[in-house]
Amino acid sequence: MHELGLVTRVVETLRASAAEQGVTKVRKVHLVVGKRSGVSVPALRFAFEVLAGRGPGRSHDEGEQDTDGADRLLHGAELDVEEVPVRLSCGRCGLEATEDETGGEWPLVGPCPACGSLDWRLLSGAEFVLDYYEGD
Amino acid sequence: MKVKLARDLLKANDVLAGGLRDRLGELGLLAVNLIGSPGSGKTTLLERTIGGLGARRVAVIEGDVATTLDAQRIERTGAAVVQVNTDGACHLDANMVTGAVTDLALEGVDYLFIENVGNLVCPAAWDLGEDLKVVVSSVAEGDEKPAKYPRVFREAQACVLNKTDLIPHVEFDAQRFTTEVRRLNPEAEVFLLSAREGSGIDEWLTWLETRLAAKRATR
Repeated sequence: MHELGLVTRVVETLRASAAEQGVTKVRKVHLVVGKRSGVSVPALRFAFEVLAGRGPGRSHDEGEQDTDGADRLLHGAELDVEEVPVRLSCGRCGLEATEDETGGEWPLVGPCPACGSLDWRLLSGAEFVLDYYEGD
Repeated sequence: MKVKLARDLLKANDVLAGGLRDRLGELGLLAVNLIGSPGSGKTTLLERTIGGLGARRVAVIEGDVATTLDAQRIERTGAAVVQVNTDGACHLDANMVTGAVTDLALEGVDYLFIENVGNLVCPAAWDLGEDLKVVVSSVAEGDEKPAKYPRVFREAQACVLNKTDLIPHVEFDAQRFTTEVRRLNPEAEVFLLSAREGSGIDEWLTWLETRLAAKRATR
């Protein structure tokens, strides 16, 4: 839903960390994305490709007329996305289940499939974590 | 080399929102995040609300992709207002609100209304340090909006159904709408009103006053 903004923050964070660590070339970026974070993985990949200099409008060769430090740092980097399933816990009956186990209805709209309560909370599935990166 | 960061970039917003909530809590004001589609009548509801609250002091943060049109409307009501232009972003985040709060003199203010960017999807995911989320829907949008955009209806403490004066002219089943909101969120208050004509506004104002009193009682 706002992947370009999120990827911009990923790039800013990478840029700061790379400068600190003396990394000049990022090879791989590993993100952990919850299925209920609201983040669309295809849109995320698209935004990353654009910002990493491989997408439409940014198809220049590495180094050529390239004054953007983040661009050069990320050019050609692989984006690795690990998706985390939605896992919920019911506040009334204590049921813990994943989205798939409840037929996909529970997390978005429905009551707890065991007791009908709407008092549930998310154990996982809302995260958007820049986990690690690899570079030289 | 591998560099481990393990940084949750969405959580950064929650941390900021927590700080904001503490700060607004100390001021003893009630912060309300208004979320709704473009054209649902959020600004008109605010104009009517500010007028209806009479002697209460109100401050407003206006979030829009572009222009200061809404802030100009609020300014005419006499309320303190600051416009935030997101320059493309589809929602306000806690960082933008923290900046806006710095620009507003909030001592002695009773209500802070934050009018989010017109959108039923993204604003639901961003905590702004508010006390209440209120979703504003209008009859011309159709009665199936709660079913189509469940998250925002599920997370709101109240739902305002606006433009009820138009019901005779559009196909809208108020019963279906209300039933669907209650199914998603049994605890949400539902207010049927016309911000333009003023009908139904008193119940909404009374509820706001109740919530303000409840917040101040817990200080």
